[in-house]
Amino acid sequence: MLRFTIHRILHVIPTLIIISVISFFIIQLPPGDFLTTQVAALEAQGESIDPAQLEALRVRYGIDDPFWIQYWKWISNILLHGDFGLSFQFQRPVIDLITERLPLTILLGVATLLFTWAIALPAGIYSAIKQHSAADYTISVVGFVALAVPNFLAALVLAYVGFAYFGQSVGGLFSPEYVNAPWSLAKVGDLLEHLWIPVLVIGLAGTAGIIRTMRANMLDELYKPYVTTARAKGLPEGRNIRKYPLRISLNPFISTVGWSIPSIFDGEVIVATVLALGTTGPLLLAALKSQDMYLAGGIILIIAVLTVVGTLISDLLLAAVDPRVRFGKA
Amino acid sequence: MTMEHRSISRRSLLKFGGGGAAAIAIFGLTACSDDEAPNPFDGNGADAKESPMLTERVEAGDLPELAERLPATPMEVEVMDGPAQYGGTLNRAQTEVGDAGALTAFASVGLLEWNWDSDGFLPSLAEEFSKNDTNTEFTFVLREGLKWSDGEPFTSADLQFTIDDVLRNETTIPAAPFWFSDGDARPTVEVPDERTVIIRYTQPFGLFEKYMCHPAVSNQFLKPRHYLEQFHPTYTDPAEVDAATAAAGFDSWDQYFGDRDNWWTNPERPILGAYQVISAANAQSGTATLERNPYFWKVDPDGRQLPFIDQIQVQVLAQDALDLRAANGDLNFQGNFLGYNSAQVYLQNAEDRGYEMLRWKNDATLLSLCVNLSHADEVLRDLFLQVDFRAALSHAIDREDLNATLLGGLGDVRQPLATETSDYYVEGTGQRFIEFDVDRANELLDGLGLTRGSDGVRQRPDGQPLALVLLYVDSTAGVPTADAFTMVQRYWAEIGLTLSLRPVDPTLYAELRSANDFDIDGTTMPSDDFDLEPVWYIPTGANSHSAPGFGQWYASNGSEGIEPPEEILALMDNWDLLRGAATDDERVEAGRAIVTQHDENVYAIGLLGLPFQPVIVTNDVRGVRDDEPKLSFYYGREGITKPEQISFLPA
Amino acid sequence: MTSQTQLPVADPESDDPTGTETTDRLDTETGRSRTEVTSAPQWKLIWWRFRRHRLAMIGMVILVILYVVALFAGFFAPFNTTSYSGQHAYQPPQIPHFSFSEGFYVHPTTGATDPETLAPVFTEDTSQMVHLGFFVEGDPYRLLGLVDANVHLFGPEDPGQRWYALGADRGGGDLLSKIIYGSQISLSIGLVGVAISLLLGLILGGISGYFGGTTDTVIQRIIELFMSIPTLPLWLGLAAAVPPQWGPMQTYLMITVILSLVGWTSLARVIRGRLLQTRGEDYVLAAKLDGVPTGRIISRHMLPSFASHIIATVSLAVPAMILSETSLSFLGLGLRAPAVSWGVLLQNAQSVNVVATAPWLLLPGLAVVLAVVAFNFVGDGLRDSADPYGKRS
Repeated sequence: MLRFTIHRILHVIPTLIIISVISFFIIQLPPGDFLTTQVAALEAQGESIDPAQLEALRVRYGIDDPFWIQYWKWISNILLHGDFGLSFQFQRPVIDLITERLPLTILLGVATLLFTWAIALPAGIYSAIKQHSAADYTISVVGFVALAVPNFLAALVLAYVGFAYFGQSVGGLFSPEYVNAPWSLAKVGDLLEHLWIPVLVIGLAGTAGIIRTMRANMLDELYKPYVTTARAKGLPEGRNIRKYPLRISLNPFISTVGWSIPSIFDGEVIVATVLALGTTGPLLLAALKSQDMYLAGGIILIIAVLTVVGTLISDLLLAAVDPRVRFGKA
Repeated sequence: MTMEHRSISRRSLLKFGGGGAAAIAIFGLTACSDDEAPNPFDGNGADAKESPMLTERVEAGDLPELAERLPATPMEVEVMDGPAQYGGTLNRAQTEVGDAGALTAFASVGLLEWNWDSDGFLPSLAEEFSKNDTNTEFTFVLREGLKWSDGEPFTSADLQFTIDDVLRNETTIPAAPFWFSDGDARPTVEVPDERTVIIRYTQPFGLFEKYMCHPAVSNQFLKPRHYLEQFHPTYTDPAEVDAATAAAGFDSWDQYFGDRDNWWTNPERPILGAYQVISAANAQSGTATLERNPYFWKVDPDGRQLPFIDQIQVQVLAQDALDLRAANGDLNFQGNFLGYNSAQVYLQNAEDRGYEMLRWKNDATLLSLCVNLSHADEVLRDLFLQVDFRAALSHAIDREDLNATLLGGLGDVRQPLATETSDYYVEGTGQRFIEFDVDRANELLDGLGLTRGSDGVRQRPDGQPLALVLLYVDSTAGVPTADAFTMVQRYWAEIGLTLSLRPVDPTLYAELRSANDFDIDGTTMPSDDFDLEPVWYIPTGANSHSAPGFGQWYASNGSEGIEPPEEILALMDNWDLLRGAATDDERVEAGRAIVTQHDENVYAIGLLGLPFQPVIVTNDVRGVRDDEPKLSFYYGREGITKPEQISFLPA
Repeated sequence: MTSQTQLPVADPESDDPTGTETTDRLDTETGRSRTEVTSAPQWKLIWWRFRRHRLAMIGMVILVILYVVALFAGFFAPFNTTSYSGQHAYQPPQIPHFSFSEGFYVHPTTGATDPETLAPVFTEDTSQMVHLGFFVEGDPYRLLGLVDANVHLFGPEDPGQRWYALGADRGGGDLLSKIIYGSQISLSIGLVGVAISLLLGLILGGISGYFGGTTDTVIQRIIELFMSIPTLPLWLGLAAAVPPQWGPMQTYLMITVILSLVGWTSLARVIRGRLLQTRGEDYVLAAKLDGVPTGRIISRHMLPSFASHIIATVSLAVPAMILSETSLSFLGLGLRAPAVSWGVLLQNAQSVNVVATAPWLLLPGLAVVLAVVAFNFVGDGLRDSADPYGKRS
């Protein structure tokens, strides 16, 4: 186990280096740079910037440096000083922008994940027990439909429903009177009032996959001889299922929770953008679109690192549970 | 950016009736004697001379009394809908986090400001303004006793600092902006005493006053020396400045200086306008809070300090969320960022949700097509430079159909030229080549020798098929571009032209244009104030919409780009005359010559303009103009209604 | 962009059922004789079992219909995508009336915008009729891109008249026709994309799984790398790099490639897992000892044994790609008008104005849901029946 752990951790290092290069490369792919984006935005409003002025700014921001020099500047500052650079667009340190949004992002992600599991796991179990029943089919249909509705559309329609029928102030996670207010019970209540749309939209979309997997895992276990044996010995059905097949079917969910990390960040981007939530998703999208490269690069890097670490933990957990994994056999 | 000023011309005083004639002056103080609590509308009758919020601070000893905060002669602003009460928070929204438009509209001030009709200037921070006969020397006398929002005096030294150490400094401003260049050099400043400022150019600058009223420009002359000195190596030990710069995460001092000078993101920077940011929009909440400036130097005719509204809250939202907020009556007063296409939804909900949708004018903007007169391909360039070719393109467009389809017949159909509301308007212009006449178009193209091939597609003089690409940014904020251009594609197919559409993102759009790499540019052209942003009308730089190659030639004094033909040189000459005009008459004359030339040559082909710009005002807000003013960047957008005088109805 | 949590799919082969038991059960399930079952080829067994999966069968029927309509879009659509009528912008859906004397008809409408409310107002002229009929002549199109034709399944008998079955878009074009034409891109992008993904997945997953060892480690690291980069920036970066000079067709292909570049990793993992399993089987060892070349072992002996699983995985990857296409359009990347795809149509519908005043423009969303759900049912059914000897049904 120790050997496996060390081996696995060592693998992570080159992965992270390559990821950081790729992240930086991707955000440099599109033509133009932050400044041309800014100029275009200004022009759309009837303003213009002198091209000469632009050239000068470009030199100042080092935008015309070759890729490797820009990359080196960026990564060495992160590693040596923990400095992720400044966001051109926000004119603030990238790390501040990210850290102040992480709590809400994680709150939204965890709330969504719990919501998904709370719906999907029971639905999957029930589907398996009542295989081929009307309920089984209904659960399948509902799950797939939720998966199939494009989430930007769902977000907009639900937002409109909130507006038209409940007079809700749409957008953001807080009403105007609470955004800049200190935390209070009322503010928490206000947050919950706004949280339901994104949690519903993102959470429901994720149920289908889990329902199917849970159902399949359960079906596998339900027909195993030990279950039959227990049943034959007169164990009540409910207890029988709770005690054995259920636990085994849930195992993979618990040990792979680390793999859900990217979905926490990825799943919310579009929905959070439509609803203007103060999470990292809209920040990332805005940064990518305006080619605010330090901000975009910083977010991608942090998400990637969290993902790699999450996968690592999952793998270690799995290996601890299942010795076959340690020897590359599973 | 900064500012906010407004006062009222004589004409509008008449309009308001009311106590216009009443005198002013002398404000003896008047602290209101109520000592009650913060309820914004309590004890805040028409006799209160300052906001209860400030009275409280005065009483707590945090703030000097009103008389000490106001200058000797505060600027008087007529109140449209008085008597007004102090207090309240005005909610707004925007889609871009870095857009300081809310400040530009509500808190921009300058030495001069636009009058109520936006056709002339009023002295603002400057009490007196004069200039010499040749438009080269401009003299301002500041009001006595003006103060920054932190209570420090505002004097000519601040202007000297701004001009000498920022605007003329090649580190902070590497290339002189349009409004601050004097040939290849930059203008200079002299400050004979604490209140007098003289700005000198060597060459006449006919647009100086206009720029000094332009809310996004005028504020750039106003920098708080006492605050910014600490970040400037001329005044503070460079080692110290560098250390502070590095600590803040910037690479060079000028970046940090720029950051500290940013009034939208730095709540510490003192300002002169009506509102100051107290928490910035770039925080996690995505919401900026603006609070009244206790030292604001404008008053109503009764000597009550402005503004009336205590706070402004601006939330950054996506467009759909913003539209829903507006339709819910959550935005108190907003025009910018509201799309015409959502106007129907605004109207549907106005009554239920307690607001009104006003129809302001837009910037006289028109969706238009600019053929690239400086096309890199010589065959196309020669063709595009033929007026008959452009006229044929224009005649082939069925604008009535376009209007009926896209704007229900309500749109504005004309060529993109200065309209009647502009100085530069020339009677009888704007309708040339506009009628839908396919036969005439074909005749003109035949006349140019563009024969049709067997497939009905016309051929270029060199025998290749005449296939053009239209470059544009997909947008549905105004006239939906993709829809409009798809229709143009069909119209032009009728006259044997193959048009393909190339929607690109804004970045690429700017990039391709400045690389002179496009056939036709589909753009929304502002038509009235082309003198302040000439990129659509005159190729002055590589960012030109109609001829980047010529623009580059002009900007580089002929060393780069493509040399323009005579007619374009004539256009440039008129532009030089306009900029360098010694008198207004000369300026207007040159401007009209430009309009006339555009009219005769249809350099840009107009398609369709929006009938109005929706502006939402909730029922509890008073003082917003309903005489359909222009919502235009050049006049500070919502700022045209002099927002310091708007107020909330008592609850 | 949907948040699909990656979870290990339970392995149906993990416990070996005894042969006799299985066939016995198959007997009762398929209602076929023992000899029939024991002698049937694998695909037949899968098909029997698949047919019993009701939702999968429904999904299959829907898909067949969708693809037939997409293939013959010109025939099924009443109009082509460029025909429009300016005064009918935002015309609500018109449900055909029927009478025995007149057949199917709708009343013609004239549209105008109310300058006060800005709402489009349509006045029905009940004294007039637009007769609708089957196999009518109308807008010209090329059937399968080969044959010039102008016959439409159902539409106005007079080609000059308009009928908006599902309402009109903001340019006065027929939404039904656009949805039908849009299906050509939206439904094929998934197939082409998955084909590319599959190719990548097969090659890399195959190499990884067959050789194992260092090769496996390297490829696994690459996969892990791809999986740790959030998809969104990958899309944005790649899509923005599509050269703008490219025409709609090339852009379409490029978008497909981008989608498959993001999607191949999970396929590669599944294939690798399957290979690792079969690699240890006796018949593979036997073939090896017989001196059969590696390529042939993989393609002839190993692939067929898990082809069904791959098909199932693939059919579940297609709907993900269809959804991705809509997301890319929403982000303003990917295809744009005047190209017509479901994503493009939905992007046009993404505004408060549409939701509030012209909700029928959200119908392309229904088409997406239909296709995605159908694919998922089929994929689900295939997965269940993929292993004819397994226990699940």
